Amino acid sequence: MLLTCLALLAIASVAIWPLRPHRYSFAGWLAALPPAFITLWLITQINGVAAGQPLVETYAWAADLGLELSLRLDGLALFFGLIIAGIGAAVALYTAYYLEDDARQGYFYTLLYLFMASMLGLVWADNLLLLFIFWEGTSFTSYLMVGYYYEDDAAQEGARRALLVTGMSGLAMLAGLVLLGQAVGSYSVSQIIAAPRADLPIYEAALILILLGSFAKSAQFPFHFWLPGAMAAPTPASAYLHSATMVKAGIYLLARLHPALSDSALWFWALLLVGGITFLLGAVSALRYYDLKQILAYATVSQLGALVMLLAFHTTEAYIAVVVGILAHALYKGPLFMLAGVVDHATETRDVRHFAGLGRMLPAVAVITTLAAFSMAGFPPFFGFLAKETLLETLFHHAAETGSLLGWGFVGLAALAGICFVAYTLYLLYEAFVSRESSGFEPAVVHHAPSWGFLTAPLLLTLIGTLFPFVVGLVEKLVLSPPATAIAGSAVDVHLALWHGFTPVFMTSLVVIGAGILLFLARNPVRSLLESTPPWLNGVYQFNRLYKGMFALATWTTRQIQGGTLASQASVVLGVAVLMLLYALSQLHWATDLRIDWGNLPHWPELTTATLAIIAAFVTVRTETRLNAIISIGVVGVTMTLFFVFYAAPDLALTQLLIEVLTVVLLILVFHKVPPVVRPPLPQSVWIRNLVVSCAVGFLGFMLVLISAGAPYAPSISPFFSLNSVPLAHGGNIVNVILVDFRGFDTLGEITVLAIAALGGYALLRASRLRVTLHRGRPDEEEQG
Amino acid sequence: MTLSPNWLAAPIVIPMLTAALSLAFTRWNRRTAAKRQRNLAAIAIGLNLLVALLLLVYTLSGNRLVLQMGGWAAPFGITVIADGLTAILLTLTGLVAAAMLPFAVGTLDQRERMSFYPLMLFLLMGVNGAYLAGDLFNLYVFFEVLLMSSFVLLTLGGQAGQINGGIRYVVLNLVASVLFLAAAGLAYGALGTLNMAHLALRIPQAPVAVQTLLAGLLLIAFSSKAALFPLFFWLPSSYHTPHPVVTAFFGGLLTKVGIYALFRTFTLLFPLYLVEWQSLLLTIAGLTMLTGVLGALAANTMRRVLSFQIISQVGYMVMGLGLAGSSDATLASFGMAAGIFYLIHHMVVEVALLMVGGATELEVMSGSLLQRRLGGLMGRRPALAVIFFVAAFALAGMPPTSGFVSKLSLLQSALQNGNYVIAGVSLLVGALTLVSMARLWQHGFWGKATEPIYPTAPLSSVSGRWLTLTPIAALLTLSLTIGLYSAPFFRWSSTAAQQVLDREGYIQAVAPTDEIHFMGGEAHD
Amino acid sequence: MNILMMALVVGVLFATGTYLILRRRPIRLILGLGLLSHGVNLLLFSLGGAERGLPPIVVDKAAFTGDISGFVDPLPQALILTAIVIGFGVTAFTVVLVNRRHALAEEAVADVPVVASRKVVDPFAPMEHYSGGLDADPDDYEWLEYSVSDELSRARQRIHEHAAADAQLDEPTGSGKANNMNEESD
Repeated sequence: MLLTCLALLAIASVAIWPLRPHRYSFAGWLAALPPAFITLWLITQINGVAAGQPLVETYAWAADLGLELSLRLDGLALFFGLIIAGIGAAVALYTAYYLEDDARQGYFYTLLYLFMASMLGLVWADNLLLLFIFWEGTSFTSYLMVGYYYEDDAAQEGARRALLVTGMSGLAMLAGLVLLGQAVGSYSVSQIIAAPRADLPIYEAALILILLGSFAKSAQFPFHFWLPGAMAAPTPASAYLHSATMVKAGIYLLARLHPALSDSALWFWALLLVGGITFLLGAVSALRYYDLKQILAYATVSQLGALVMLLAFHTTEAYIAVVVGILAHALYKGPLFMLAGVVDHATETRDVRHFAGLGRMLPAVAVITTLAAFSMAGFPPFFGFLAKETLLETLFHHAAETGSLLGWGFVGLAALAGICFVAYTLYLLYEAFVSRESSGFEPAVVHHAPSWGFLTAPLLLTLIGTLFPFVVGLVEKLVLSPPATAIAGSAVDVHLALWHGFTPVFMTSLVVIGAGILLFLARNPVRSLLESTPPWLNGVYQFNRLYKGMFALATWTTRQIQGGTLASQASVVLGVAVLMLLYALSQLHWATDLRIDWGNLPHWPELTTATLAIIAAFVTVRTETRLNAIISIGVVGVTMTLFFVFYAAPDLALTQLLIEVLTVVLLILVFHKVPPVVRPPLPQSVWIRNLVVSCAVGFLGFMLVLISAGAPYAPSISPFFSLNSVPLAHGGNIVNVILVDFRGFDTLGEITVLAIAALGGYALLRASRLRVTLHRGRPDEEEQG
Repeated sequence: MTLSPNWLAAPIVIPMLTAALSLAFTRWNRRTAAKRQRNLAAIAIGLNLLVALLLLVYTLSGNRLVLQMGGWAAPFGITVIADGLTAILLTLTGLVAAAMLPFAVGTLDQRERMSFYPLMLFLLMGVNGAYLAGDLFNLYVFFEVLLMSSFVLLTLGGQAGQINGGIRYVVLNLVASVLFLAAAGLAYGALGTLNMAHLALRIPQAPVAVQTLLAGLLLIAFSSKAALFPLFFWLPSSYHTPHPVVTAFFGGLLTKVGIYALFRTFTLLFPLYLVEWQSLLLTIAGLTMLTGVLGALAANTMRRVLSFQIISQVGYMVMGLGLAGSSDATLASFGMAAGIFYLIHHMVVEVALLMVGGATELEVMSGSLLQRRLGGLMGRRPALAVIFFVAAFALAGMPPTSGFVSKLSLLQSALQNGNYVIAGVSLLVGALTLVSMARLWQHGFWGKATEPIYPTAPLSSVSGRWLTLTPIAALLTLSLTIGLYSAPFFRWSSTAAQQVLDREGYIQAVAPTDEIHFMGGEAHD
Repeated sequence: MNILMMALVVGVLFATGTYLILRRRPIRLILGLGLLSHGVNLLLFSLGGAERGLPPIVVDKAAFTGDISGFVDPLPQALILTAIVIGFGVTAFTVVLVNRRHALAEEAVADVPVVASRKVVDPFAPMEHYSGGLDADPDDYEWLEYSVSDELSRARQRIHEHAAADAQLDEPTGSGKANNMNEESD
């Protein structure tokens, strides 16, 4: 059934594009059906899973590679599955209104379903490699969704950044997963998390690589910058991918591997520090922006940091806090993004400075937004308050237990971040709905008020979020305990209540709210302080520098390697061969390995011929006139012929002579008309290089002959041909028999080469006649620009 | 199951005879000639593919098929031999050719009439021959056949860029050929034979220096054909110059012959050097991947990027060869299997990508990423866009395409061997490949459309669309199949790898003899 | 000593051949390749030992009893024959290639005022257009640019003529491909 769910989404993704859903007004309701169906099915599974009976499906894939199509629905998987499918249904409904009349709506739905399938697969996968496959699936679909408005440069850049950061770190993570799987001996997640793995020899390396992938995916410092850039995506994608689901994939992986990997100081400090920094950084940065989606994006970054930080701990409070945090965040941030989209749709701007008195123009939007935003700020009795309480409780607990200054420092950090949360929530609500003047900007006008259908999805989610704290006692055993148990690796019982009495945690919350209100009032000086930070502190700035630097490096390297002349490239090839020879010579035993008959002296005709060949070769090089060069190479050919004559190769001599004559005639015929080109002499350095390379290659040839021409180390097969060409092939001329019979196959190839050469020569000679159609014109000026 | 060894001649003889036939019965530069040649080529390519599949089925059950040409026993005649690797490559070559044919019909300009199809068949013959050769000199001859036909195909049309690129291509390849020929000479001079199985038997008899020299010369010659660092100059100088059809054809076939030759010689002739030079091979592989991908980032036209990507990808296969140099037999076999698996993936995807890249260039008649004539094709050519996306990100290793599983297998092998550096390099290169593919995609398909689609673009007509896009889609479907249904493909790769690493089996199958008798008595009747 | 002599000749042929290849002058390039292949042929030839002997030809086939003493090694000769013929094919093709290059250079010189006969074009610089003869740099690759400039400007014109230029972007404008290619382009 798990696989069926994924298949259902895959089929829906393929089917919906050609159906062109933008033509139908009810498309959103239809599109919400598959995820809604999955949600309902998941709800029916809650009881069984909560009773500790995970649903397992396993199919064979590629056992040699450790790949197995195994899905496992345990508490954590079900919990995430509910969020993904549930919010997915809401987003699917919302999309139809957001992208109404957009001809590319079908394309967006395709991506949405594909993403949903990848995301569900990711949390259901019980095989590390399968998990990674779905992980990359979410990266690629997210890339395409961010680049949905592809004409827009910002969308292109945001998409590229998101892909590169998450995709590249994903590859690092893959290495970590493979290391882990190989060390454990199985890629099965349930087997890996069955025991702590901190004593494996590759533990540190694997952990660092996995953390890299998770942190980048979940927008942790220093990778956090891709997430605000990804806000160029259509708002449904932002609501879904970049707040509720995909960015939680990193959190999911950390939570999933928590039982196996968390038992080390490295884990604790890495998560605590990175999470803590991100928590504060995101919260503070959110104060700086005017764009609704940017504010929400930084708030998301901050919230993700809090979750990562919580996963550092091993306490029951921490597990509960993580689960509550994830759910609360999904239930308020999703609607907030959707509402930002509604406002954007209605007023065609997202810049809060443009808003003036929207509360009266869009009352329903204002109410829903306020409900969700209060949850974000952590006001009691909203769901966000519960999340903040559990978070603070964890930190208090830890600080009290260790008694260290750092522990209290983190409490302070969380409080500081909470203050920022309150401040920007108030800022957002005030500017958008309450304030009457648009602070000097052109006031936004409501062009078309949102229909109720448009508001259904955020309304539903907000209602669930708002009611949740009041019914938490009824569902906590079923919804919250199983995932906390999975993270802990042992049974965890969740008890949540809105009211604990006047505990230190509650007092802190009150202080935070009060301080937040103060910060809201003092927002302008804080903002100008934030705006005065130097640009190099910005992640995007550094990323762009890195990106450009990479291209500069690539261009420089490639120019060094590939930018040379033909001569320099040929020099490299030949130079490598010579180096090879020198290496081989270093292994040579000169006394024994060169088996040359020094006694047999050459006769004078051969000596004369050799001298002539050498002289002619040098003349070819030295002569300035082309004709002389051609003639002297002819002379070299004649000396070759003579060698063949002297050393009993009449066939070779004949062929060589024929070919030599042909070549010389061809060269003279073709080139006698070509005017000589006068050129400046070669630079000294090039000339010297040419000389050195030539001499080295000459030495190569010389040594090759000496090494290969001695008596063979094993008897030659050649006597077979001499002996048997008459009896077996009935030919007296042994060379000819070899050519046409024993090795006739070579000759077949040889003839083919000649035929192709003729064909090619003919084609080239005829090419000039085709100028009419393959015309080489000069490109006009306009095109050069 | 038994199979007549004579089938082995078919992949060589069929293309050759058809090419000769189509040259003999048609007249130059006539439109009807092109049509007739096209039909003949279709028949030949179909037959070739069928034979290749037959051989594949036969060899993947662990068999080798040996044909002694002319009936002369090894090592005296010429041996033609097919094992799993050979058959896999023959099949892929056949597939590539089969995909290329409709694509050529759909996109070629009047170069179609300059004997394009016969030349394509000659190239096919050369490639097939090189895969089948069991004799060093015969391998040289088929290398020359495929080189010569590639020279001609490269310069077909005779445009300035083609001529300039062609001259580099010719010269650098001829230099490599000279080294290869010298190596063949050394082999015969030192060991008295040219048959590869026989050489494998005799190689320990030569002194170390001679072995090193022979291994080194062959390494250089084949590395040059395979476009490995630092011998790949010919490839980026020339691959972007001919018609996109030719580029795609070359990209799928040529470098793989060099890779095959490296796989074969190092496992068969120099198993000791495979171990001893493991770090050298892995270094070469790493540098090839890196310089290739950096070139792809530096290059500014679509096909230049893709040509550099070929180099980068070839590095991965050499990485597989390097990993096969592990001293542990199981790990070595796994490394080799990963290399072969990568080869399978690469031939399918690279060709598809070069085809779709070429089709994209032909749409606006520009491949330049700087002039921004490309751009905004996503809205205008959605089908092309989907195909391009899948192809590009398959190359970058996106699951669930074959790119992911093949990269995964190499990564697993490297990590298992403890070769962490090459594993890291391969991941880094994968990431950079992602960058360069995203760049191509965004330049070509995102952004604003600034140019009209070129009036004679292949995708402007319905038939053109079908002819051009169907073969690419088919190749990508295959890639997805390999990715989603990887178990059998990897198992075949493993079978092939075990066969390749099993030298004794190869030698026994060829059965070269040292005995030389005078046959005057019985045969001369 | 024979071998030493042969080795010397081969060495000289390799060295001079290489030197000519490195000269960057097209015709010398061909000559250099020629010398190199002479060199490697001679290398193969010296495998037989480079000794005087009987040509490997059985004159009287009927009387042949398996006496091959005195014959020189026939196999290298067969290999060289193959190599010579292949080498000739390659050389001939290279000659035509270089000839075509000259023809194009002449055209280019006739078409274009020579900008610089010897500039090093950076193949990765932004779109250097080909100018000034083929010796300038080997890496000009914009055949697409050349062959299409006319056609493209015509396509643009056509689009400008129609008022709704934007609407046309989606429409296939040209007629059949083959027809268009055969049209005379001034």
